[in-house]
Amino acid sequence: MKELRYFCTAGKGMEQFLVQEVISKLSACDVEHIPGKVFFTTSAGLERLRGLKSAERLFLLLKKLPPLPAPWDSGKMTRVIQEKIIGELGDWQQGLSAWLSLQQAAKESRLGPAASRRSRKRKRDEETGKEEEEEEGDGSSPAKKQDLQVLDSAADVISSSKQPLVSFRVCCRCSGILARKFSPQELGRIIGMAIHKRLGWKADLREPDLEFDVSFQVNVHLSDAHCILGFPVFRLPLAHRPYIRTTGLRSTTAWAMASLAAIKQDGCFVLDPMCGVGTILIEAAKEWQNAFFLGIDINESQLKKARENIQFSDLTSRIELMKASVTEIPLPAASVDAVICDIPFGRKFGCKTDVRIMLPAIVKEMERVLRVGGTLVLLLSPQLSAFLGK
Amino acid sequence: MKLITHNMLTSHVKGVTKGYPLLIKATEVQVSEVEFNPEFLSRMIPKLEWGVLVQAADSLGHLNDLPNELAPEHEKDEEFLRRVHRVLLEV
Repeated sequence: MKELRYFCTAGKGMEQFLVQEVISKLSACDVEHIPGKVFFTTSAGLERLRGLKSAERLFLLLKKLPPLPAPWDSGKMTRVIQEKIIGELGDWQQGLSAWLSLQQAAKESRLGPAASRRSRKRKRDEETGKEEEEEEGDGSSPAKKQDLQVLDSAADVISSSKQPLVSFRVCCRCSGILARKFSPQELGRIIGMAIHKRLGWKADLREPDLEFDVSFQVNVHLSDAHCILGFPVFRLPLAHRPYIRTTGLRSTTAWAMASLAAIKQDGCFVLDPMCGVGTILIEAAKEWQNAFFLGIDINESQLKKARENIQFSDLTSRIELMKASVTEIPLPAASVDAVICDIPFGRKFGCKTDVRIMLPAIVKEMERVLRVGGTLVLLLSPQLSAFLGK
Repeated sequence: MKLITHNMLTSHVKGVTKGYPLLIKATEVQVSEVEFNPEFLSRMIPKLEWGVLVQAADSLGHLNDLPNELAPEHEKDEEFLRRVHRVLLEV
């Protein structure tokens, strides 16, 4: 895969985990982060990109600009957008063709060798196509000609005589000063119009349509600090886990907690004494293959869902479940290597008795079962964390 | 429940001074195939209560020729590891 610059969105506080992850898993370089986003360059293939566990979504970076000025009237805003966001046509065409090659690679990995044969043919077409293009010069406007050039590489249905149909959607988010003056829909519409005018592509708000040869989405995030444009690489967010059926805790958070537990050694015994539907156990067991996991919960219905989840993710060989109380964990002292636990601190799930009262006893019991040198990872609310710190 | 889990269980009932090991009353004994992982096993074996494992396996009729005492260089004996694997993770 060619070296490309990407960015991932990440939950608040997850940026550091993601920075570590892209460096270790993708050998990424030029890694930088801002709140909620991590930028990096890598030549890793789609499968490795898909393996990122602490990110929400993955985008191919189109542009990263300083924040836009925010004039009051939309006429001036249109000009700002034309100048800054649209800018050079070449950027868009290069960006789109890189995105198309990613989509092509994804299609090939889905369809297998038959498709890759077709793509080789297409690559040849692409090379010859460019030359033809330069020779022909049939009087069409230069912008249109360049369009053809880019799109030739993607859609083999297009013969060179026919103009390819490109549709796109703009997904705009904004915050700060701009957000107070324009709604995201308004800005999205202005950006869409500007793209349409300069590049001749058709803005389409509906689902991608079959009558178009190429349909793409461009995400625009405007804030007081940055202006970032990117193409989503996968249809589903990275945080979506095909192997988990019922989710409790956010999968990315569960993964980050497991990564803190440092289950690197072979033969670790890991315990989640309030496992709920088992999200932490599954995320950890998927990533760290040489460990054994035990989940405990007092609630029968949660355990039932956890059992279904573990069966669904095909991890029954390494995760076991048991009904017991966290205050009386049925394990001997100093017997487990790591305890990972999302304490139900009451924002989403409460429990009958106040966690504040129970917390010291819970933590003491966890410490009892932990081996010397073992790791304890807890997810707490800021209040509870401060309380425990005392 | 796998025997690896049983090996760690204790009882917390009040008045019981030595809540370990627990006796097994099996209603059904199942053997299911699990992928063999020698690194995992050789790390796990030193952490086990070996005597308890042998007892538990014997009581279920799945002793699988495990010795009463651990041999000193057991982690190099793949045949042995495979037998432990069966008892620990597949029963």
